[in-house]
Amino acid sequence: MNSFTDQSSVNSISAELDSIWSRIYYHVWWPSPGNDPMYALNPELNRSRSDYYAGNFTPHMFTNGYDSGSSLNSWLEDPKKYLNTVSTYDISFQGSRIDGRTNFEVTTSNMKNIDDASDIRLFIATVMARVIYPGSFNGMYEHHNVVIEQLLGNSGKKISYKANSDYKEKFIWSMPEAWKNNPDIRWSSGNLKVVVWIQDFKSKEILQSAEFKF
Amino acid sequence: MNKFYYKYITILCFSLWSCEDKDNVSNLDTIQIIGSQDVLMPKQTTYFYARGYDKDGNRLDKISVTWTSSDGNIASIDQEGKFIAISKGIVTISATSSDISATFDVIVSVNKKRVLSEMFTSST
Repeated sequence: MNSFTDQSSVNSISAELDSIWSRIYYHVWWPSPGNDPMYALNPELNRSRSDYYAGNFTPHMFTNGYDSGSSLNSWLEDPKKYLNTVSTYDISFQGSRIDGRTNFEVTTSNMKNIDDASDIRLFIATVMARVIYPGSFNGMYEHHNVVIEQLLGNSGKKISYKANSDYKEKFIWSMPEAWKNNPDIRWSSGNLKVVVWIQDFKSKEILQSAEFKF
Repeated sequence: MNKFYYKYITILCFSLWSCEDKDNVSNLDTIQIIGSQDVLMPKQTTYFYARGYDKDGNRLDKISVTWTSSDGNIASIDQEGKFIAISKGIVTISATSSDISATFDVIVSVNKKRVLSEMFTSST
């Protein structure tokens, strides 16, 4: 599951790859919902994304929208395909954080017009880089890059990109009360991240992504 | 005797090679540009090929085309179809034979593509 916390796995990721690679985790309900707060805090989010990919087992990874299955080898090899590749899409970010309260703006653009028939969607997620869950039933107490909320909805926002036009999304966002009040997990606002991606919603291919820390 | 045969074998080979060469085709109606990439980063190269068809849609074996780039500051293309990306922008390449031509847009981008892995996991 959190195999990337295993030191031997981390060591096998080159600095070059690590610099272009974001990993985010959705906590789902197999074999049963159990008491996993990272699922229970936002089941609709996790179910929606799992249903979109029609996944029904864990651990299960998708790399830029393509199925990387359950094999650690695939998880580590598939991202390498994207080294030295470019995208027509650009994502930039500016913002600030005071404790758990954030104020930020995400700007996206594309170098070309997209076809009218395309369904290109923007996703913006708040992510907690490190969560401690001492009550974990499977003995994994430390969790990484847990998705907290999809700020443009669980199915993203459709954007009809016109060439070289900027599309801006502004947010004033605070850590949800349910996270703040949950006694089963520990986290720090300093580990808050924003992960942004642009996805062809029909083919599932992720066309560009970005990760920002405050 | 052997020299005599070698001479004619050489001429025959040259004739066959000449027949293989690309040429303008009189019944050419349309050209299609074939390429494996339409988004490249500066300094990357790729090859484009031109395929010809007659008015009935039959593919013509070998056509000779002239390659041009709409903006040599963004990318160049030589007469073998070798494309070299130079700087950010969109360039239109053209393949022309007689009065027939085709165009193809290629993007040169400096936006490195990032990878997003989405993991479905459970701690139950």
